[in-house]
Amino acid sequence: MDLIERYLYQVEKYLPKSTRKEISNELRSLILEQLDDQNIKTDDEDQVANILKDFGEPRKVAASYTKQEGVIAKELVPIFYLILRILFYVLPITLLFVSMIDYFSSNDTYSVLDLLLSMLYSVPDILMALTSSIGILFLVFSGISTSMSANELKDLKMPEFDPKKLPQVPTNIYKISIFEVLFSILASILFLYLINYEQGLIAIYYEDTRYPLLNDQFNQILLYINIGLIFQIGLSTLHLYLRQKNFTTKTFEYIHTIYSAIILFILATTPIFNDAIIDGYDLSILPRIFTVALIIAGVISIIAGTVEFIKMFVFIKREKA
Amino acid sequence: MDKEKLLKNLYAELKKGSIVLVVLAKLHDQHYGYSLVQTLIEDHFAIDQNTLYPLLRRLEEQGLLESSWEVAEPRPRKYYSISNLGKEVYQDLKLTYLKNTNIINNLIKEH
Repeated sequence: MDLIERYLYQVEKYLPKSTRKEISNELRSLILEQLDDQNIKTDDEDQVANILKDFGEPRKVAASYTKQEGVIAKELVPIFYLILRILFYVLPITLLFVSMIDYFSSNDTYSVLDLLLSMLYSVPDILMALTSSIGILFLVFSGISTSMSANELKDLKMPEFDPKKLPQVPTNIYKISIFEVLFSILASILFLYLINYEQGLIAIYYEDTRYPLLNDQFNQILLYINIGLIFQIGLSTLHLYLRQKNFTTKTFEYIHTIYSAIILFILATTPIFNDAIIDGYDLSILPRIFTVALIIAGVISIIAGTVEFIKMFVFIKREKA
Repeated sequence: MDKEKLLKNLYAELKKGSIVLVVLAKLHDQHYGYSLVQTLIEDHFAIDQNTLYPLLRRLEEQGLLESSWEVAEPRPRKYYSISNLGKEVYQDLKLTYLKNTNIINNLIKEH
């Protein structure tokens, strides 16, 4: 049954959302019908794999359910939509990131509002970049469609389909959100850049004067923060490559959570903040607020990380049962 | 292109034109996907399942077929049958097909 679900999951990936469940249910029923008819049990992996091989490579099956309405050959539509989906995620996030870097490198004074405004100004550019990319992609696929004959498209060479090599269906606890992972990578890179090269930017901005928030003690902990951030980037990149989490990466994730919480506690108990006094206002309360916030953040991340980690074992136990 | 491959493609094209007519004819009785495949094999008109299943969905979207999920059986099955519109279209298609068959028979009998 597991192999069938893995197969259907792959077919679903290339189907439009509106018909995905309906087609998948129908395919499941048809596959099971065929297994019944040939007296094959669902746990007989070899026989099930043969039946799935007859049904065809998931992309081809999905393509056969796609209507040919435009100039792009229906055999190419699933690949076209897959690239389009990746484009919709990657392009806006990358351009927003570039606009943030551009803001920091071209201004002397900084404020969150200005940063948000500068990102807002980049929205038309993002829309234009998306429109042009979709246009180019469309032209490329139309070109391929017209240059290939119907038979060539039908015989489109795909790697030998081996149902046994189908990836596992990610369960809820192993699922990743591409947006979340990309955001985590870009935010970590930005933070690395900020604390290593533009540490002075972490400051209180008041009437065109910048009052740096961190003192030299912060640099003593910097190495450990860098290790944590690089670990985070590596882990997120691995999740992006695997397109899902697994037991090992979840364990690494938990170790990273504990490590980060320890760093937060060290930051909270080390006098890393400058006492800032602006225009006669004693703002020495701010570092204290940060200290409390860091401790609370550390405690919450340990609790949340532990709950998440235990949930995985509960899930594994239930699966075994 | 070698003769075998060429013939295979031409056979497929020849058959393609009559698949809808055959499916509409068979679905005057209710069938689920796999039983229709089996019936067609028994009738010596085997259709590749990757052609048939999407075709059933397409004909349903065009209003020529009706479908319903039967959940009371050992496992849920989606049954298809011809709709009223389908029956009207089928009669017209059948007449055209028979007319064309006569014409083609006359055309090819000389050689």
